[in-house]
Amino acid sequence: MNFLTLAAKNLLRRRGRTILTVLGVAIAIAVLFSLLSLNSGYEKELNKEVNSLGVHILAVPKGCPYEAASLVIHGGVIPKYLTASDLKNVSSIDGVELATPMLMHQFIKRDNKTGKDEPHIIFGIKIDDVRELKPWWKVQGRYFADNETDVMVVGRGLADKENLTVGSTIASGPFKGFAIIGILERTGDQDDQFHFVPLSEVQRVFNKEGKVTTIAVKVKDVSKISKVSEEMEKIPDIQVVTMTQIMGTIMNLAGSARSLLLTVIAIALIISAFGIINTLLMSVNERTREFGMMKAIGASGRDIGKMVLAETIFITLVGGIIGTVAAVVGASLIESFVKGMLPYSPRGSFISLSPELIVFALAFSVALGLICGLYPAFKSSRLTPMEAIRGGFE
Amino acid sequence: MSAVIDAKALTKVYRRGREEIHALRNVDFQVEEGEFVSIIGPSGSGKTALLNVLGCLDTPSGGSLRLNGTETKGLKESELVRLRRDNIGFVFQQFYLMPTLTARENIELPLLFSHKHKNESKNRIDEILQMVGLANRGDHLPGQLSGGEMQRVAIGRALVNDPMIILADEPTGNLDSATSQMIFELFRELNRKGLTMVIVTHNLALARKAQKMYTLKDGQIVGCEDLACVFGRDDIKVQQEVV
Repeated sequence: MNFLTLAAKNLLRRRGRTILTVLGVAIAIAVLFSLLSLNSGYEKELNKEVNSLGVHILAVPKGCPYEAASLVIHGGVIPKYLTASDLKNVSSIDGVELATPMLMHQFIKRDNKTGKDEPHIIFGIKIDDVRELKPWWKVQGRYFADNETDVMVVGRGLADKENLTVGSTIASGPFKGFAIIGILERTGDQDDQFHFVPLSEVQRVFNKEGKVTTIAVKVKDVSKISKVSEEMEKIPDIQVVTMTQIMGTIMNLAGSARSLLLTVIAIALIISAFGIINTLLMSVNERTREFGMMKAIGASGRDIGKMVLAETIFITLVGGIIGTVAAVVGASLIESFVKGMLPYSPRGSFISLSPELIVFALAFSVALGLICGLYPAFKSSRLTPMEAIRGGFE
Repeated sequence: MSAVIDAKALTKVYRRGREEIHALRNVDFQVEEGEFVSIIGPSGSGKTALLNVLGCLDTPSGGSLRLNGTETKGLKESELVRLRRDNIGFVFQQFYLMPTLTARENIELPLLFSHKHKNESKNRIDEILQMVGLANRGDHLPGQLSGGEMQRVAIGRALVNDPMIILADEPTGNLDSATSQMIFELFRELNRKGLTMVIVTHNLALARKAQKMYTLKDGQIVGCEDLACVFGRDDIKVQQEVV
């Protein structure tokens, strides 16, 4: 027999009360564990989605309106351009993983079916860079090399609209004679409507050698987007548009949700802690005579305190284990419930059951036991044997 | 023989609000090593208060107490715990056994508090169970034992740390006369093995079987009868009388 088995046997004497206290702790730890795991999983998934945007920051010439793309679509011309030195400056900023130049241009082409002139958007790109930015791109046919000429890849929507197939050539407009060597699989975004050709080809066709309209930037760490964009703002002639503004708003929402969750957790834990302290104090008060007997047979105040503390830690540890297991088992249920409550939820599962979190939850339950057990342990250890023996014995 | 308990002018005053209760008034009390002493007296005479002070469960309000040569006055709580643990075994009227522990575990409890080695403990507990006649009942819970057996477990628990003195507070108070007799016999046997016994009882017949019988009244010793001439003789018939 040791103090732990003695504590366990003591707890079994008041089985009903012990079970209720353990359940109270289990619920608190389950709430703590679920909310923390969901929160960390939610943020992880949001980060993943931000990463899948590909481009985190766009650098455009200063004075260029945010709606540059819209302007171009409607026939406007971006009056200013960025240069190779701007690209060099952006690339050298700490935290930039990839900076790739793009020349976006519009051209008018007569629609074969309707006979009307329609605006088209063409992107001059460095294909390897863009494929790194957009790893989900898949092509029917093949991609071009950066030094190829008279070749083009088009979006699926455009290909369907213009009846373009791999191997066909552009019949009219400034890119007349360009061969369609690849058609992108449908992406669900604006890429479906664009033409893509090597950067040098667009610069050649529109006489814009050395000029680009946009520098697309991918950062190493999503959380450093604002820091990198601040650095980019310092470069003259550059205006910065972060593609993560919307995601940033969602991240802020997630931050508020986290504060709310932590408040709920704190309240649950405080209620649970008072429950444990109350139970232990009741138990200590009921057992004063027993403690007196123990002192009479050789226990020191420290021994009694140690026993009460062991009982508390036993309750909270068992509660912690039950709570953690319950949270793991019920995580998917809680996830579907939480997903329904959130203003925006990422597509993937955001249950994040890391071993660190499990260890944290268990360590936390033990710490809770230590905190809650200290006062009852102290109180019981201070009883003189006579005070104790005059008390009750169950 | 030397006095293992030497109390001089012991007083004990309890305060209940403004009221002062004098449980002990100038009590002189000596017990020699190996002696079998009984204390008798009506309810409220101060028997239990005296026993608690002698066992260092309570501190006297005045006077001095030497236990096995050690002056208890001014000792720290931890020193009192050690003194109590190493010298005294307690037996209570209500047994005070832990209901969730088996007889063996109840006997083991003091060893847990004295941090004795586990292997030694097992042998010692077997020996004690044998001594108190419960060799086959070690794995029973208190609820499965009779009153006499429970008191035997409590006596076993008092013996396990190998004390010099046994202080028993009404050890037969909850037992029928036959069982009381058996428990008393066990005490006598332990005394024969050299243990000093101090027993508080209401039972005059049993009290008169001790070597020395002190009578307490209103917190004072009003009588001390030397029974050495009849001690250990079962042929002496004592009238059954309960004080």
